[in-house]
Amino acid sequence: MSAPVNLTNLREITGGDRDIEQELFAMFITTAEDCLQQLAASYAPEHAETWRKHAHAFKGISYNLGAEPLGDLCKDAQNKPDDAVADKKTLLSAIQNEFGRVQNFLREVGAAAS
Amino acid sequence: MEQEKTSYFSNDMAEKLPELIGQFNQTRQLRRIRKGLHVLIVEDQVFSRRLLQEFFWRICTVDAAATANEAMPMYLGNAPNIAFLDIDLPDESGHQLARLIKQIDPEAFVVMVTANHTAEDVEKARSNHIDGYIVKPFSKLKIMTCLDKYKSLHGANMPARGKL
Repeated sequence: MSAPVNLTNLREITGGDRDIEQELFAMFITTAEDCLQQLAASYAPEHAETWRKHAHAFKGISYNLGAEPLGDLCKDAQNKPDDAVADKKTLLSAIQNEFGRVQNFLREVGAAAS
Repeated sequence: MEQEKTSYFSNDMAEKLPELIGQFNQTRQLRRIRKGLHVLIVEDQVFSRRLLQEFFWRICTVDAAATANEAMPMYLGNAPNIAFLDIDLPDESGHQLARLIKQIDPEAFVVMVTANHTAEDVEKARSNHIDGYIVKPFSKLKIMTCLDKYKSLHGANMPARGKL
């Protein structure tokens, strides 16, 4: 299984500053958790636009972090705002699992840096 | 009492335009007298906004806004050399913001930033005479390509690539 995050782009942009990196990881996790909550609250067909919007936001931050597999899952969710509730639940479950992998990865990077 | 927020994108925008142009004309000379670049970042996601800020803080001055209406007074007040605009903003689309900026400041150098790369977005960007287009994820190479284009057009006092 491939690594959940590739930090190459992020480190080029931040100049490799580990303190800034940790701040960015914390911001990513806070925003991602908010997106997950919003997605879980918008399975219903009448909330399709909310689902699409939060999947889009989650996709953008995931790709910018370098979490491509998570970004791809969010992209899939963004493209399926009108799917059946059961399908959305399955997709969100996959997103939550992948987000768990990303969180573990970021924790390990943080522990290695301190 | 809460202060009423200005909307730059109301129905009477055409009537407001001369006033906005007049306002901008008082600050546009900042571009000629300042040393180095001033950049405006408009991005609603705090993580992505901060990431871009981190890059630019090392080479120039930066304004950052989360919405189109928050960005406009910064643009009018500081005449940035380059504006990086996310397309999906919570109040107005980045395309709307780009159109208004180009109406006020025909010399504006505007780069659209998006996680979507749709033909519709590319067409809208083209019709707004946009100067650059970055598809997320951000990378140093993508940002530097935009800066190089700006430099080739305006010859700005920019740090060499090796310093970044």
